Amino acid sequence: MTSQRYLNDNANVKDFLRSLAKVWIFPAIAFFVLSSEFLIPVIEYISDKKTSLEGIEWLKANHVISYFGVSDFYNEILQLMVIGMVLCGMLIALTHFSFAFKKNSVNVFFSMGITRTRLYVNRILAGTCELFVASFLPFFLIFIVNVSTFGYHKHQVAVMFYYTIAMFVSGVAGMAITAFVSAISGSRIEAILTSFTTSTVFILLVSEFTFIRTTLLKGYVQVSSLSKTTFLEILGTMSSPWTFVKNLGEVKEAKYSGDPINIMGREVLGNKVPQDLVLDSGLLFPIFAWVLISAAIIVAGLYLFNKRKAENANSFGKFYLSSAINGAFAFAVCIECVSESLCNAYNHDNGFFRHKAFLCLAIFVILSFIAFFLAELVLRRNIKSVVKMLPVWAVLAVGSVLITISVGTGYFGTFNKLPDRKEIKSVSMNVSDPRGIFNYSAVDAYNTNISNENQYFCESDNPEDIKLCLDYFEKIKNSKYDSESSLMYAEFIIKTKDGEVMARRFPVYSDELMHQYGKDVINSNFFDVVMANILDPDKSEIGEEYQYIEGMDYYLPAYNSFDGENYTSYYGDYGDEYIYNIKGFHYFAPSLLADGIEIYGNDNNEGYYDTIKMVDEYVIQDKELLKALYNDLSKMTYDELFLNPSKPLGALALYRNVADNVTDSYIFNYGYLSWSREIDELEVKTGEEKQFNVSLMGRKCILIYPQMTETLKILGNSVPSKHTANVKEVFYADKKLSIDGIDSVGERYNMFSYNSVHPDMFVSNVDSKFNYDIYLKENDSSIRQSGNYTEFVNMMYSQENVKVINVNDSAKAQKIADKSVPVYDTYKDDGRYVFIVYDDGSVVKGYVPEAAISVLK
Amino acid sequence: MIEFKHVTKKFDDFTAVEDISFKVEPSSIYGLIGYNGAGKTTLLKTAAGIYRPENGEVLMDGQNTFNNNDIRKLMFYIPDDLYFPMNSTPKSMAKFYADYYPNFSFKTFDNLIELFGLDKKKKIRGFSKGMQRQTEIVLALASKPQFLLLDETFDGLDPQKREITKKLFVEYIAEKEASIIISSHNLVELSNLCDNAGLINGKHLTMDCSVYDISQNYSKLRLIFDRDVTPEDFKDIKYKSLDIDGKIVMMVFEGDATEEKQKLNALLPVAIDEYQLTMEEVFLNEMEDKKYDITKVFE
Repeated sequence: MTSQRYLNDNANVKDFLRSLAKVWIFPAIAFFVLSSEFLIPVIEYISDKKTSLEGIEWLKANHVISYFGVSDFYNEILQLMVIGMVLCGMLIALTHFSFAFKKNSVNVFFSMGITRTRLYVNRILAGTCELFVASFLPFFLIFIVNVSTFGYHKHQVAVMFYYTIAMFVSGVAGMAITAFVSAISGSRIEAILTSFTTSTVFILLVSEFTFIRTTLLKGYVQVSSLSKTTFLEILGTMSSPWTFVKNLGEVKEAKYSGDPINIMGREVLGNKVPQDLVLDSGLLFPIFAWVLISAAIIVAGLYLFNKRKAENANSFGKFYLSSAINGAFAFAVCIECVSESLCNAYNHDNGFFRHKAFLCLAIFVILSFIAFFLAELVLRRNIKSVVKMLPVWAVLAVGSVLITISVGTGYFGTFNKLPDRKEIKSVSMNVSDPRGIFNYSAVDAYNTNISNENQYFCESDNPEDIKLCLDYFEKIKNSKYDSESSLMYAEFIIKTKDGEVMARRFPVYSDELMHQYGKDVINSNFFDVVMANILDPDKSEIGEEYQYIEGMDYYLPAYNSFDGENYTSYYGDYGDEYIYNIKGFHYFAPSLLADGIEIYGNDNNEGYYDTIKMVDEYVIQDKELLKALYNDLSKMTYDELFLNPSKPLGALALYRNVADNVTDSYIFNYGYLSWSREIDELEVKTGEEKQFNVSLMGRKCILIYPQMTETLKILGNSVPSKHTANVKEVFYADKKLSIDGIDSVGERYNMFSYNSVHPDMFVSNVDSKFNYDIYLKENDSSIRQSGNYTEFVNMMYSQENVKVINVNDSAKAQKIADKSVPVYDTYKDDGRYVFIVYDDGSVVKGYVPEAAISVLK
Repeated sequence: MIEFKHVTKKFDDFTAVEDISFKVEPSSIYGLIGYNGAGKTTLLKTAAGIYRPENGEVLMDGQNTFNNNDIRKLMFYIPDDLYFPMNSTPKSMAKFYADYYPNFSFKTFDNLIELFGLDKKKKIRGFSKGMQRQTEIVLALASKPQFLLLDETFDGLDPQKREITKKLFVEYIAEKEASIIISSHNLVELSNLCDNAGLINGKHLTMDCSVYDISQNYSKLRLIFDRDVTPEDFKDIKYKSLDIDGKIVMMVFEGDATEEKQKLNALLPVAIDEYQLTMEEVFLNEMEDKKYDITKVFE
């Protein structure tokens, strides 16, 4: 009855029509932009004869496509389009309600024969209609083009529906926010400012809380599968109209992470195209949520519009709510900056603030007050009015402090409360060995395991392991901060019999505790489980290769590797014969790094890398080796693995192969080592791509000791057990460099960086780091170095005021070499790193343990 | 009928008008008078439903005007600060108001445009201030409202247009039995036009009566003496105001001054002349507590 009366009201209908006419320009622009970005490329592609014949016909014949759009599901521009639609909605509302910002227009509109409610509703309705038309038309036209090209498929309807509703709701969300803001703003400038702050303040606050939780919640670790941890992420993106629309790229990725496949649009994997397209809640939930949020905002805006004081037209900072939102924004920006700095200082820096919670909180409160107060002063320009706003700051500050305290105390002690021991089904812990060979992150493995079937997650239900895990959980949880210690982490995943998963990651401030934890875990049954997984021959194979289609990016699947790292190689338009594989291991003799590098002076621009070469290198591709390694290693203790005073017979290092025809740089992340640059450099300098061998970078190697009988049996006699060159000289620093000391030296030269603490440089990247440093300096002649390898190392020491002792006596040098070992856990061991130079030019870095330090005297 | 019932309007902590009550009968024009910032515009905007009063209400035909769709279709407010959208013409504005005022008459609009000599197709922003005001008056009268609220409407009109406008308003209220409230600084004009007038002074309505009663309630005497006189000579006289210039004295009396005249005769003036006060003189007398010694301003 009311609606009939509403429609019968002539003034009402005419006001609606006037509103339609007033803002047509913005939806028209939106329509043209959407069309130019989505529709026109489709038409161009389809109308192109070549692609039509070779592309579309192929796609049709292979049933891999039922809907065609370009730009890879529109992902590249979807976010821009969403932002554009939100802006369009905001501009519509701003134009519609601009009459409320001027005194003379308010006089007319608020005294005419139409109520405020109808003024408001008519404008919202008009904007909604126009946004719908602007959103619907381009995708409807694309739908028509697709039907005429491929024939009808229900996917097409779903795609049209998704994009239309995504764009439409984005626009309505923007309009709703600005309509709401217009009811509480005195001027256009204030409305623009408050629209921005309103649309971003919540995402700022949520991201801030997320950050505080990540940083301060002791034990917290991101586990993507647990709903409790993803809730805030959802809330974060959902809380802003700019970010709530899900990118279809995420949906596309979902097929590799084990989620239900719900690809809409082009699908390159023909055999995986779902029969039934499902617009699941994950995709549509944010959109429907924002339909409700927009409706709520519009209703709230209507209420406030009716309450709006006309006398506040053409003012700035007169509306309390508007000022409160803007003040909250200033507050949020401030705590975003301040708390991030303070949290970082509190947790990680060795600075003044580390673990000074009260001081950090006090600074946090004071700075947030200053930010809020200044913002309000600028907005309201009247101290008395600003004072009235202070309760808002107080609420925000108290809320933030309570959240911080709650998070800082682990939700008042409840967060890290262990389940009853009898209820525990299995445990998993991280393994961190001194050389990083068997590094295993329980959390990473769990995360990847639940999202990718190719990954492994090691768990143990052995009662001894459960006890070990729970004991260390309590010990590490309760360990005190020690300012002298370096920061390390221990991870625990505890599964209960009722299916609950508790994942925690604790910082450990005690070197001693962490060292003991590492030793105990490596000596545990759990370590055998991890090793069995790592060395499982079936898991060290590359995953299936995906078909390559020209012009389309694709992902190689993640797969397992020797060291448990997650390899994901993104590969684009670089060629169609790309092969990337782990084929086996390289074997190196104990002293194998050939120096042979001549470093020329400034007047010689010839290559620096001419003579890079690896010696004593053999490729082994035998799965039995893995089994033998497992058998040998599982028998060895921590001390035998990492404090073995005997000389190893050799080493097994990761071997990779990259196709010869890779001619361009590419991104290839292997753990924390990015290779792209080094590959590029080597190729450039050698001029012969085939010379490049990635095994040079084999950072991780397993040393072969005499007691590893099964392994040695497989290696047989095909590998030399000894370096044939004679020791020429040895040099070493006159004092032990602490980790910090080495780090500080390493600021300039990577070879003394953290990695060098772990003596895996034995077969590792001394040369590559060395060359890398030199290469960097090549472009800057002022810091270009000259000399040979020995001189280079000498120079580096001397530059850091470390006295270098040279042992030129070859007999004594040989003795030192005999006592040096390539690897050692240096914890509390007062030994020395030594550089052993052979008469064939090769250099080996070794370590003389404390027990043998007398050989240096 | 327009009825103000105990209307109070505040702007934050500042009270603009307080407890104002008066009525405007049908077929009558009410003049709202007060010095700058007294609250005339506030009162009109409250009546128009633009401002929501903190206390009291404004009724038109018994209905509250605030956000009242039905009553505001019968009411037109011409503000002091006129609003014409960019590129609007009298014709487009007529269409605009016709959408919201069901009684809008394009015939009346055309007649009035012709009467004022305006071009209905020209952009209003190009009009002079007076022509813009004439346009607004045309639009208001063509909307055929029952209640007209006019804020300083005569400002900027030339004498001829002013007379035409006055006649139009008189003719309009006679024809439509409409009620008009008009605020103005030009008291002479209001005295010729209004049936009733109200004075806002110090946030309150200090006077509310018919224009006829105003002139009847006040009398002004000019006395000429053959000697110099001082205020001390008139200490027994109950006057509203006294102005002595040597031997000449001007005195204003409120209410019946017969008794006071007898007392003055006892002072033996040479001559006594009686005058009727203009409306302006009445209001100046009412507001005389705001007197300043101007001679000291530039010291």
